[in-house]
Amino acid sequence: MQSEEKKYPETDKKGDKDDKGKKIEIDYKKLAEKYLDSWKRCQADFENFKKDQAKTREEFAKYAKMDVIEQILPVLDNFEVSLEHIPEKEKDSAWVAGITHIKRQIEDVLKNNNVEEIVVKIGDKFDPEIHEAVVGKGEKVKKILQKGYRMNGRIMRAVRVEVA
Amino acid sequence: MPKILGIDLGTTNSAMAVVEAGSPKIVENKEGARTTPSMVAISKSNERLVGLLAKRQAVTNPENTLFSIKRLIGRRFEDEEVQRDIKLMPYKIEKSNGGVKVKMGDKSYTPQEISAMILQKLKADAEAKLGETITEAVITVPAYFDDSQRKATKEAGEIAGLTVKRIINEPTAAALAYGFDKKKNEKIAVYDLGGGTFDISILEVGDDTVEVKSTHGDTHLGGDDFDQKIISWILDEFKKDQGIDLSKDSLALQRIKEAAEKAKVELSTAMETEINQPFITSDASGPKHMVMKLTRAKLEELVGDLVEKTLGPCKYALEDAKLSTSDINEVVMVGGMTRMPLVMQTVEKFFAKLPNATVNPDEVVALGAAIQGGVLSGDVKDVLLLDVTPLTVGIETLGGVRTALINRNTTVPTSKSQVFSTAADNQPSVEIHVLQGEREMAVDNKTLGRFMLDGIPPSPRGVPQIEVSFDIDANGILSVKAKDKATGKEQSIRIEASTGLSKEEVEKMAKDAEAHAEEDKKKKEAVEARNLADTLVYTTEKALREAGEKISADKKKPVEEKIEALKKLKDSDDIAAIKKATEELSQEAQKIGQELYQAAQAADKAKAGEKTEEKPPSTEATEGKKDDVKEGEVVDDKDEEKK
Repeated sequence: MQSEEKKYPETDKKGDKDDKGKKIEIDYKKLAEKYLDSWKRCQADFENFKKDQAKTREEFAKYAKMDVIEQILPVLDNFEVSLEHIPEKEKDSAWVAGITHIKRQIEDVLKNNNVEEIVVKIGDKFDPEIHEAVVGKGEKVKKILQKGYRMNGRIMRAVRVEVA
Repeated sequence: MPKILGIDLGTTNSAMAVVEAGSPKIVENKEGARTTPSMVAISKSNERLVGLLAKRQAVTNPENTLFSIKRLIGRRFEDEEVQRDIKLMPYKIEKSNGGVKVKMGDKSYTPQEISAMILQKLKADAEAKLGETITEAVITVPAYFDDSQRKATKEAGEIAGLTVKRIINEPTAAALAYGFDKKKNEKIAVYDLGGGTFDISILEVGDDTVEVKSTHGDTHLGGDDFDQKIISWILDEFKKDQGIDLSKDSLALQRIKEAAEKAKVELSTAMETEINQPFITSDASGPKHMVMKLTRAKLEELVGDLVEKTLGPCKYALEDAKLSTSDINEVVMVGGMTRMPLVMQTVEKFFAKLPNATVNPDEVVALGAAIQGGVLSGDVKDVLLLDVTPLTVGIETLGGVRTALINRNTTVPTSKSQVFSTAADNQPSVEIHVLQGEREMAVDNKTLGRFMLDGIPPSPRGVPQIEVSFDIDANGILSVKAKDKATGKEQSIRIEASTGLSKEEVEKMAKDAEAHAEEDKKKKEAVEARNLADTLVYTTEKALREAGEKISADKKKPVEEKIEALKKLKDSDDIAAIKKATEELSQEAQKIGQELYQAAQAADKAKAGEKTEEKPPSTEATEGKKDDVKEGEVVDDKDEEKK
């Protein structure tokens, strides 16, 4: 059985008060200084908090979209797969062309939000900074299974690859 | 003052937090994530990878990717746990001086060296994020860790260049995050269902200690098992439906794994979710899509036995502590899996108590560790502990509506003032009815006090400016003051026991408000519609009266008709009709306004032609305006009676 001691700071009993209640002498000057100091610290904390908040807001604005866009990525993946499966006789139809344009629209949305595809070539050296191995053993990228994306320089999704 | 990093060194994931300005906050890692996988690897090119990067390459490099090292730390080679892991783990576990070592690349490492690599990454990431050097840490361990496991964890910290100020128990850290360390003599159950392990601990809070009375668990039960059940179900369903086995298709499996996790998360709030993975695979006949529905009921059926399995350890832990469920004062939920409604319900039923789950269960341990660090560094010392108002305080306004002045959860000391006015012409006094509670209508809230401000000089309704100020001091004492801006006359009241409510009462009031939110909103809307109608009738009648002969009788007639119509409807319950009649009157009244305005302009032009030095007419108009009078008026006695 384990127990943990909690050490809470003792309140400073020196100076201000005598516990036995004999004589209570309060050094008001010291007390005032102490309070002024606490007040200043509090004000400084608040100022620092404000600065910190401003920084956080900036970061937030930059990456807040990331979550939503991450959820759109699988939609784009499936769009791409669907286009790989266009039935032969439909290939040149205007309808298929329209669908291809919709896909381009999605890609535009990503581009306008600073999302870029991570470019990988077959035979590239496996790099866990940008690749995620799904299957295989080895050092080289053998097949790209799912595209990866970067937003404002930060990896949103690594490229899923087969290695060999 | 250097910060002490609070670290939750987990079996599958780790998290870190620091105390900033008196409260703990999670520190994100370099990759921007709030948790870091507890994984370490050496790549083929001899590069050391920690966290997400190690995870990304795990498949291709299993024998050199170390995970769940926490299961090995401080253990002897002969331990049952170690022997079990030797069979399960893809990496090599060796005997060394009675303890164990793990092989990675061509070197062997002690578990503390591996844990140190994780801690080192956390330290470096925290330093980058916070912009200061971190040298001290508080690290958490499971309550069942023995001395040698604790010592080894401490060593890991030291290898990573951290002075480990304290090793604390995970359940204690969770209790600390909830501030339960101040609850003397209370008994707390901490239910921790994480990614790979389940722990239940019974704590007793003493004078200045938190003692672990007992602890139990299952080292191989967690969220991963839940996911696996869902994945198996999806695979089975797809096979039944399409005749294709996806368990060998690694990308499909990966997609299913993600879909399963997403479904699990969604079913914590929704009753049904769709697993939609188009083009999951294809065969000779063309592409195959996976579209299936998973209901919460089905999910609960799939994982019900896993949840039941946690109750055994709960019983043993109580037995060991010689306690029954009724002795437990608080239940704390830890670990991502506790978000699942079935888990919450099961635990609530077992302990017959609503579990605490307001702090993010993935982060609560790290936050608690940071609090302990804050206490140790004295960070908490100079920070005043400030209270919050548990309930909203406000006053009653026209039509029995509660107007909030200070909202609940506002940190005190605080003050707020707002200007109100009278509801009737020549109203001599206003009653300030001070209310506390979350309901929209005054009657449903608690009366804290009431007082009158009289001696208001006779004036039309809406003209007097009564400033009502609320002030709550650091001790929770509420002072309410009402002041007539015209005469400077004021009245006030001091309410000492404004926060003298027990936690249960406060919770009940908050819950009541939630339960009645919809109906209260409707009631308030009705009153507001009536108030608006009333005001419009009043102002239009006044305008007509004042305009006198400036408006011809045939123009007045339609307006008067509309006024009559609205007057008849005003006190009915047909809100839609009141709103419609108000709208109609408003449109009709605007025509009059337009006419008056045009007439005035014409007159001004004529005047301006005669006397150029005269004040521009617009000045007069703005002078009369009371810009800062807020809508909503203080009730007078008549209105009180009317209700």
